[in-house]
Amino acid sequence: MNILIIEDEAKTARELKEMVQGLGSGLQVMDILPTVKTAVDWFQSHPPPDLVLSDIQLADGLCFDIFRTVKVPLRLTVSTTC
Amino acid sequence: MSALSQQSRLENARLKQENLQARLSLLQEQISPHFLFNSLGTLRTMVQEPPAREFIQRLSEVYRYLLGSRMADMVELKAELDFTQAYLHILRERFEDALIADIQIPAAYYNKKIPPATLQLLIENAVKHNVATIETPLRIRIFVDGADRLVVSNSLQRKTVANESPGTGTGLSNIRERYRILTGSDISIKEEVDGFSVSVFLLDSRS
Repeated sequence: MNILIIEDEAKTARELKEMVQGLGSGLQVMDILPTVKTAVDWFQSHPPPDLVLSDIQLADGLCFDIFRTVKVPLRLTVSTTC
Repeated sequence: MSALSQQSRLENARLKQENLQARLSLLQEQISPHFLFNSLGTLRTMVQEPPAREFIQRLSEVYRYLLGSRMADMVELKAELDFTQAYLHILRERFEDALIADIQIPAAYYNKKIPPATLQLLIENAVKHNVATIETPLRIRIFVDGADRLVVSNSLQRKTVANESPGTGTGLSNIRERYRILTGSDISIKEEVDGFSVSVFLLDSRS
């Protein structure tokens, strides 16, 4: 399964990546993207991932802004700081 | 007569209740800081990694300063700068290389006075309204200008958030208002294409 992480805080993104990779060898983290802008660009040049794990408040806006621009069918899990 | 005495008994009970409530709130306020600092101290002993221990230490310093200075109108600039370093340490752990801060204050200004947490509020404001990523790091500079004013400047790379107003301006107007009341002087805000800065007057130690 190909997973994309959208998260602007480097430490949180790294930890999430390690957690995902620790779950099994069938899970690949395709990329870590910190902003709405980089995510929009990414979706225009990559095949859609099987799952997106995304923070809500990104460095330059909300993750929902990405999916107003990018219309791809995908599974999305959003999370926010607890 | 009996109705009246019953009413006064009720009144009495209500006052007792209010008094207890006030004393409880006071106790809670006294207990929570100690609890926080003790817990942070305990946490530090439970952690071996030096960066994590340092982070806990700095977090503790930040809260000690905020609690200790919240009743004060003015603090010495040196104390405010030490607190600012602790606060920046915490922010840098969070933002890593996306936040670059540079503080250049000559020691001659250390005993000047400033309303507590002014620098922290200005830094918080910069971080809140600007994009900070590794590709476009947020740069914050703190220095003294030619007119002996303390300046906090940052690179301007505004967040463009669709469903949030670009800022209500409460943060800055709070600082402005506080400055007017405490010092009688105004803060100066300058916005340019690629930079934003706020300058505030420093007060002499005798005032």
